[in-house]
Amino acid sequence: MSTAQLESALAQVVGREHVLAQRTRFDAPEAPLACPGSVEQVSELLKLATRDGLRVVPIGLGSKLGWCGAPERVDFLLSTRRLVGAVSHEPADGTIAVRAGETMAALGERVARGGHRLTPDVAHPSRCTVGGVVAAGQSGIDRLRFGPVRHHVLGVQAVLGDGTITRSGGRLVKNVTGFDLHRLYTGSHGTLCVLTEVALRLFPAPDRDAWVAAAPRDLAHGLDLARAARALPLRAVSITLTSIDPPTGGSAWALFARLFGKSAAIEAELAALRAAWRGAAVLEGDEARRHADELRDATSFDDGSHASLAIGCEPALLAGVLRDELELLDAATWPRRVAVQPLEARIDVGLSPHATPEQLREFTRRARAAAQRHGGSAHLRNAPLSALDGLDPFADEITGLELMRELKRMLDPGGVFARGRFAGGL
Amino acid sequence: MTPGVDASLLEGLRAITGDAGLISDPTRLLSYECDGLALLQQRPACVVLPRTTDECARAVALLHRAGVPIVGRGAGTGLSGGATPVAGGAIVGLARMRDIVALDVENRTARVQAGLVNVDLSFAAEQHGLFYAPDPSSQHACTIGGNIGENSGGPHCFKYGSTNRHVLGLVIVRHDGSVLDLSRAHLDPLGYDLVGLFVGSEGMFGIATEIVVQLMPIQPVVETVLAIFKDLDGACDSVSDVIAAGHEPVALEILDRLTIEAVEASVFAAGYPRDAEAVLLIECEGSEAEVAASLDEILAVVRRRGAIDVRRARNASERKKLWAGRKGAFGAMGRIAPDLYVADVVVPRTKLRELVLGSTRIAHEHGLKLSNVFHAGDGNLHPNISYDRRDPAEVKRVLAAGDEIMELVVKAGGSLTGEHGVGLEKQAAMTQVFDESSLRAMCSVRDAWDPERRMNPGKLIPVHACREMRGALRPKA
Ligand SMILES: Cc1cc2nc3c(=O)[nH]c(=O)nc-3n(C[C@H](O)[C@H](O)[C@H](O)COP(=O)(O)OP(=O)(O)OC[C@H]3O[C@@H](n4cnc5c(N)ncnc54)[C@H](O)[C@@H]3O)c2cc1C
Repeated sequence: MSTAQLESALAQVVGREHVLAQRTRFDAPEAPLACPGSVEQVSELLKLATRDGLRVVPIGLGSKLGWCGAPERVDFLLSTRRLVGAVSHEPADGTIAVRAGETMAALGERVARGGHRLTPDVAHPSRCTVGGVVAAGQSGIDRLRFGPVRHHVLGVQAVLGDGTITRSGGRLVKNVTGFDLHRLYTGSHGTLCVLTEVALRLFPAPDRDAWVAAAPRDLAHGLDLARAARALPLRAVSITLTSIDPPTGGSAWALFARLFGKSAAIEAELAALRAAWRGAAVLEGDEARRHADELRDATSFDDGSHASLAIGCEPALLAGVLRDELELLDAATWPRRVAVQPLEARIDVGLSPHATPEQLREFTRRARAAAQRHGGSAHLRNAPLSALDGLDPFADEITGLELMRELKRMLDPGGVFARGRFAGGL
Repeated sequence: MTPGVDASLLEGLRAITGDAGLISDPTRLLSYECDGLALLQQRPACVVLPRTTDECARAVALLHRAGVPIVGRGAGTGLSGGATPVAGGAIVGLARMRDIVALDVENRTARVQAGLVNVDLSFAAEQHGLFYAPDPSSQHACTIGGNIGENSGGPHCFKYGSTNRHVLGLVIVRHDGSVLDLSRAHLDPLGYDLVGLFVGSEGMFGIATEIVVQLMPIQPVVETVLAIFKDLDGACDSVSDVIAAGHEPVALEILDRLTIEAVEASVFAAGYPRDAEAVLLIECEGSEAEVAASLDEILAVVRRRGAIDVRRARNASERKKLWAGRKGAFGAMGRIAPDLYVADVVVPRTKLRELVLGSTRIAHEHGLKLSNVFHAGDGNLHPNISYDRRDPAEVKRVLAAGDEIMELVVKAGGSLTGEHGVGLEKQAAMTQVFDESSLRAMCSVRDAWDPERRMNPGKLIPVHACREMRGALRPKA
């Protein structure tokens, strides 16, 4: 099928004005982007793909394409961005079902009107959709308190490769009816289905929001302070240790915590934390929120302009992993841009925009080896595709890959969702 | 058509597990004929009880080669027939795999064998200031592996979430005896989330032999309060209001009058007032300030909704007593009638009152005795019907009432099961919640794990959905 024929076939389903030519990070030939306006249109597009043997990459706004590798082949992209709005919002039950193309920013505002706060609290919320966040398994900076995103997906509507519209889970906070296919789809990066609707559990908006900033002497001190906070009777929303480059006030690290909840409780938590983090500064209300949002965006290293590494390991082994990673960074002589969530044992490293693809690949190999020595993993994001030559962005080895391939084969027998992008080439 | 378990197969199994690990004597097999859903019974040909993952894997491989269907079993306390045997098939029981392999205090995790009894993990963790959150009322008997099978909940799962939120890794013996080791805990799954998918798969994807779970720190302050009501509606509405106002107690449990009477007449007597129509058990935990702040507000709601009295546990032993009544409630119901049918539906938490009422009405229409004891905070109702299994007419009415309750709940936006699973009991009702396409997707996923469909066959997915799919997949030449 020629590009013109394909575009006209897509236009027949979604209307000409909803077929766009969008450059993606995949090299030429450019694939058209179809934006269906209903789940039925999603289904039609996938039936078309099945019939004509076309390969599809589903996206929301495309902000997580850089988390994956290049597809072996792609004929068109399918964006859910026009599927917006709540399907059912039950503030009194603490649940919402929303169409997958709604941005996280819009969804955040929507649930706020019902007295809730949206989790996951992800970076750049106006640039990503809820379906994309779930498909990418993207947790928020509030993970310490609320857990990973996969814990909050109550159910989904998903369209399979052959166009079949299916459901999994429901809209209830507790429910074990049927297999949890939504757990399988969460984090599957559009290789199994197009998510068209997502139901999430909601959490009450806090009465009081506080931001605590400490200035540790050095990294070890910062880790000690974080550990001290872990032993206190408080449930921090996030605790983040970030590098400062160039160092200010004699330290190359800054430490932040966000607390929120009922006012009286926060009062007590603040007192406890200030005692443990002597000299820490406290901000509250809007100012606290602004700082938290800024730090969230800045430390995600995920604005698409440069590559980053997301490293995870066992909490007890964090110090060792961090030491090894920093040595590598020093050797690479790049400016240090590191953010650590010490209590979740998560390290994000912003890599230099000036690094060559070869340097990125080499650095990732070493950083991954260092993480793996401590049972960890390292995911390379937003690197130019040439850096991924011979390098899986997610991991070198995936346990259970055969079974994953079988799951993919069973759910997408026509191979409609483009292969090669996700871990292990799924 | 089930291939037989013959003498040579039994010999092969005995060579793997030793005498103590194989049961084929018909009298001893009797106790494996059903799980907690005693209405459904089948006679297995043998029960294999491995001690290690390796023994389990070898036994499963042998059974696989012989084409024998396998049902995994923990303690057999399941209430949906999940562990009901296949006639002439094998049971692989985890009861002899009950070690705590490692308790990692620094990382707050534990690695346990699947047959470990739930409460034993909490006992072990307690010494380190930690606890394992999912606490089914059956926790003194049920196994962590069975909890994985059903994605079980418990009173404290209101705040902390069901089993799925606490499982970090698994070692799985697959249908053919191969071992899939997903026990290395990563922050996020590498590739598809096989662990998350496995939890709640009711023994149909394989047998979990080792499990890595997350433990939580014991909170400094715990407050347990019993609110007493003159009517059940007030208790239900209190819970709806507490949720709507955004409070986060750890547990919100309701017991109605009939349950209270049974509990108070039993060894679980907790001091619940016998003249109350309902009690609401509320527990808050956290820092002193957090607990004080939220408890005050919750109690204000409860009083507004008509609580006539509020009793606070003054110490750990009083708290334990209040909980013993709740956790022993199903057992205590034995006083009302010989058998108990425990329904397990979930509803939006805005509709508690309406659906509790509706369930009671249905039972009464069938001339049955219904009592309520449930995880109100999660909207997880347990309308329990007392009956006598020796009376076939009554059994029929019980099942009919159970079906009608499910129908009522599904129509109101609820679902079939909150924690006990679908098993055999609710298999047919699955079509009320999922259309053909969705059921087929579930079939596909099961077929990826177990292409021969010999792991706990005939459960969860309505038979016709899978049969049609097989037809579609493998057209006759
Ligand atoms: C009095 C009473 C109170 C109860 N209260 C609660 C409650 O509060 N909350 C709740 O959720 N449930 C409750 N239950 C139900 C039951 O206890 C739970 O479902 C429990 O998790 C079952 O554990 P088990 O070890 O008995 O598993 P079984 O009944 O033996 O098996 C349950 C299912 O899991 C599968 N399975 C067992 N072991 C494994 C394994 N290792 N790997 C894979 N699959 C496996 C089986 O094939 C079966 O499908 C209660 C039951 C009773 C009798």
